[in-house]
Amino acid sequence: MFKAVIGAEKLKDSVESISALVDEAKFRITPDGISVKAVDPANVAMVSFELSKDAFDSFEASEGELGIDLAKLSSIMDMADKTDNIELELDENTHKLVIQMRGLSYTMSLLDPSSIRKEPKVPTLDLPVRIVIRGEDIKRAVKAAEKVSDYMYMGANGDIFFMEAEGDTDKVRVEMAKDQLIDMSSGDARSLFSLDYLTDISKVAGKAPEVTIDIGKDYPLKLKIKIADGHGEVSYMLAPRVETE
Amino acid sequence: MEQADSLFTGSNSICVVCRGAKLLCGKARCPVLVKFYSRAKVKPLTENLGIDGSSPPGVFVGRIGYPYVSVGPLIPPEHGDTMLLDTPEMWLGKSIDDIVDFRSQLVRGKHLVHIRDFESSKIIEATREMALCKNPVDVEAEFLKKPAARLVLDDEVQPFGPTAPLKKMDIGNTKFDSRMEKATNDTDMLARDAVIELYDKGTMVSGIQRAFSAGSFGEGKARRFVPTRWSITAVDSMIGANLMEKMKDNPVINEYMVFESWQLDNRFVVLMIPRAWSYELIEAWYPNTVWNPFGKDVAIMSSSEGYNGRTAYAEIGGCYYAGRLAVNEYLVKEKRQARVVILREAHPGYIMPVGVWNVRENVREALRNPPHRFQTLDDVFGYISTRLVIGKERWIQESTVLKETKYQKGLEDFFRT
Repeated sequence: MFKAVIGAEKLKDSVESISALVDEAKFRITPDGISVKAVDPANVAMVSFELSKDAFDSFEASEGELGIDLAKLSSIMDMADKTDNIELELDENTHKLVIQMRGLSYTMSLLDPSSIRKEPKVPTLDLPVRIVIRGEDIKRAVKAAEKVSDYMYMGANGDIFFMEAEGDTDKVRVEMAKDQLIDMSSGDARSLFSLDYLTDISKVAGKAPEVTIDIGKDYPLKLKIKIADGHGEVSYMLAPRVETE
Repeated sequence: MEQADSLFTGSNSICVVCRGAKLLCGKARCPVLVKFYSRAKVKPLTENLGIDGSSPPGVFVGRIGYPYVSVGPLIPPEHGDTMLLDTPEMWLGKSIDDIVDFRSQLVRGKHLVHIRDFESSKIIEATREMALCKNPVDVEAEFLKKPAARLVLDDEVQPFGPTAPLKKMDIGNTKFDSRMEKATNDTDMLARDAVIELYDKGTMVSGIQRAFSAGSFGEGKARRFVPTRWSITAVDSMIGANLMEKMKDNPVINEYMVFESWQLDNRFVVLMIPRAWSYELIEAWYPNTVWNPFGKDVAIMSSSEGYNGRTAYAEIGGCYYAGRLAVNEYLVKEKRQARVVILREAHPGYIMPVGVWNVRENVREALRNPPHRFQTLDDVFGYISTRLVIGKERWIQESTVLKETKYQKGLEDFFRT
């Protein structure tokens, strides 16, 4: 069984954080909350999402899985105001999700969880540099990089964190010293990432006051934010481009 | 090595971008096509103002003057089973001379009409009926002028012969393809759904394209004539996109596969990569081939799409969609998914454009034969370099999808072993 009430904005942000990478996802439900692990079709980026039952106004659930079409859920959420409370209930008989908001009831059919791409295995990464940065700073750097290239470097030289993109003629570089960041563990790192992915991820991260990023040399990055007033967490992992042989 | 490099320097010729369609050179007629016309030996087929023969059936809708277009049948001066003449699915293994020879027999009758005007003339009614027939149809046509002896060439559309304005035409008995008849009688069904249903029932792509151009499908009020050139790509694109949705649910292949087909001095290599779907067609035109007539260097052009597809029309034109249909047809049949790159080298024996069927049918042909299988991209190019002239570095440099495959790591590359 699954029955829960949550603020519209929290639910909307949650859906967006997952749909940045995939169109459909398997939501794992437990008595303690909801979690999702999903990888994009090319196996380049993955998202792990956790939302504790404390993020909800009420939450009752037994163990289960819901296959959800994220584009559809997101378009249903467009009909809610930020301040609305959304009631979600699984109809066990029809196996549909009933979504209620201010007198509107939407019965959404679910996807067969076995038809959704398997949850990825998560590589364990040992990354030398960690920075904690304001979300808006990441978003701005990505936006600037998009103007010149399809790719962006993220790296560190000792106490300096940098983001850099170079096109055929133009170049963008953002440098931030340790004292301009919220926190930083110094080191050397430099990896190249596709803006196809970073753009979508930075839209989600851009709203967060604090973003924790771990980077290495030609290694995947990990990016983590808190959601729902600290009652949830989203983390992304993104594989790099490596242009040297 | 230096020699190989010098062969490839310089920019692409505008011809490879234009392909006779856009007249980018600013001239009133495409000089490349004019050159072919002057060479093509077309005998006058008829000294009369009329022709009497079995249409394959063939129908042609022009694009000049849209929305007022020239519509009419393609008629050879002979009776009998002429189906071959307008069925590109049957043309593999034919030489350019064969194709020119039988296509130049087709006289195109034309009648100027608005794309939505289906009723003003018997010529139009008869032409639209023919487009639904599964067997050749006897046609007697009278022209206003004697058909001018010539061959018409186009990069997308198969060549055809002399053209003349129609005065009147009569057709013999028609027997509709029952699948087509059902689709055309359903005036609530979207054209796209009709196309896909006919394809799923095994109707030939060229037949669907012919009926599509005659405005046979779609919601009643939306029906219209569609220029042949556009209808070929519309149908290739719709069928391909539909197959692609199914293909994306399939598991990814687990090794590299290389298929090939050589026709008309075109070399096609279809490379399937064990990664999630994306697609690219790369064409290399040698100097003195159709779309690189004046260059000293090989002209290379490509279009590609990622996993989520593309929304803008492919830079290289209809051949992109013809190839995409053929590879998805294979992947759906094999219940697999792959990243696909088609490498095409057009060598100097490819002297005139014959239409995008050349790409569709050659890719299909390549995929009918068993592939060579490899474990790494290096091994793949070790083999390809024995089949194609252009080398690995140059292909990768020109290719979005190959670069992506080579440089973009996957998360699986970072599991500790």
